[in-house]
Parts: sequence; structure tokens; C-alpha cells
Amino acid sequence: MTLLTDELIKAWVGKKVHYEAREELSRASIRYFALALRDENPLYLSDEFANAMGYPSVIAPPTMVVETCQYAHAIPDETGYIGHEWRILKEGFRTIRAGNDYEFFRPVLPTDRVSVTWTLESLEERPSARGGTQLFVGSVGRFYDDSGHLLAVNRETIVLQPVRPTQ
Amino acid sequence: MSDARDELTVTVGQELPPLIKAFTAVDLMVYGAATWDWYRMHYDEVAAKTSDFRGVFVDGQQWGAIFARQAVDHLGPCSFVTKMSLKYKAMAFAGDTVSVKGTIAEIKQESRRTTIVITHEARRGDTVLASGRTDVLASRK
Repeated sequence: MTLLTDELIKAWVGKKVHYEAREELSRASIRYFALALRDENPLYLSDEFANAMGYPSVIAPPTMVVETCQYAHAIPDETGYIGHEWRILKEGFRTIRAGNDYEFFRPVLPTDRVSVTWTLESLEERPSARGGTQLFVGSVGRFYDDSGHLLAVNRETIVLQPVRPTQ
Repeated sequence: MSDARDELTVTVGQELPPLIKAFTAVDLMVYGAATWDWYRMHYDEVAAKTSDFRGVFVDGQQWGAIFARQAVDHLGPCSFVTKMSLKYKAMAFAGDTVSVKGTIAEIKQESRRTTIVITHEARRGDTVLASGRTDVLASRK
């Protein structure tokens, strides 16, 4: 089964979308993330400790900025997901992650209001070990603070697999 | 925790203390909630099985958080993660117990900056679930 056509590739590759968080990241979100990982590092929980380490306040755990969908504001659909997704193929496909490559430029603070620009970089069709054809979607998310300075880059590969593969 | 900047000794080939992580359904749910990721596959067993998954599964990005924690726990609060590369090789499910190994792979000295490269591997028994590479600036000051 062929998933990609020249028209589909032309329509999608290079597409960009931008999201801006409505509020600052916040201490509560940072503590929540740390608790979710059962991480009691005082760097994420105590201003006093963070100050002593040379930071202006608690900081976010390293990968939080690229993992949170706090930038999003949407009513969840049937999948429950409100973060960024391209929705290239919908019915009959399931989504998994293949990999992420991150770059970080400074510690993220609770006072940062984060925005992100996603760009679709590549679409590639490959056979699936489960049978059928799967689509590899390569995207890059660039995360900025409210002064427009780059906080992080997330280059990721998502795989769209047919739920019921046909040979 | 103390500021270990002046005490830290790392050598290439050194193994970091392993992390053992037993994923419960609660772990999957709270990570999804904390990241504003309400994708059903991480908490809704019926939805996951309808999509032909064995059950609710760990969000791949969580490996990044776990590997970064392993690095920061060892290198201290003044270290700064600059880069990560993560490959997800097999899925982890609620009920799985996973061990995460970290190894100092390289120490790079550029001018006055020391970058420590750590490789990570998460396994469930003999199955490699995820691998990663983390570049950490020993001190951002």
C-alpha cells in the first residue's frame, strides 16, 4: 500500500505551526513534573537551594520544556491528545515515537512563558515489521522564551502505523 | 545534596549508579498529566488494546527525563544538559520493571568548558527498550 503521493509530500513538508503558552511555566508545573518522575532534587523544589547553586529560582528539570504540551489550548478529542500533531493520516493508524534529539541553551525558569514553532521536515514510507507500510514523520520544534530567545530544539521522529496491517 | 563541583571525578568507562524503575499505571497517568499529554494510550487499557498494543505504555519521551535525571543526579546541580539523542527500540508497559544503565563515554575539554558524554540503555530483561546519549556541561558557570 502506498501512503505517500507527490501531492501529499508537497502539501505537508515545510509546513509550520506556532503555539504560545498562555501563562508562565510556573513553580507548580515544575514541582508536578518532578513529582511525576519521583525526583526530589531540590533544584526543582527549593528556591533557597537553587539560589545557593547560582540560579535565580528553582529551574525546570532538563527535558521538561520539550516534553510538556503546556503551550497547547484545545478541547481533547477522542484520542485525548491536545499537543502538537500534524494529523496527516487519521483513521486506521496508530502513533508511536521512534526518537528525539534535543539541544538545550539555558536552564528553563518558572517565569518563562514558552512558545514553540513546529516545522515538518520529512515524510518517509517504510515497510513495517508488523506488515504493511508505515509513515515516518520528521519534525523539528523550536522552543523560545517570551523575549524570542531559543530555549531548546526538539527534532523528533513519529511513526504512523496501520492498526490492522495489510500485507 | 551538596555542590560537588570541586569533588566530582569522572573517568571514561565509569558506570553511573543504575536506576531501577518499576512503571505502574499511576506512573504513566501522572507523567501524562504533568506533561499535558492526555493521549489515551498511556492510561486507557481498552483504547490501547483496540489499537493493537499489549496495554497502556510508557511515553517514549519519558526516557529522556529518566536519562537526564541519571546524568544530573551524578554530575550535580551545577551541571547543564546541552544535548540528548534518544532512540526508542521497544515499548515499555505498565507493570514492567526496567533497569537503566549509564556509562561515561567521553570527556571533552574545549577551552575552559568540560563536556561529559554519557550513554544510557534501558532494558527489560534482555530487551533493550531505549538508548540514549547525553552531553552535559560539567558546570555552566
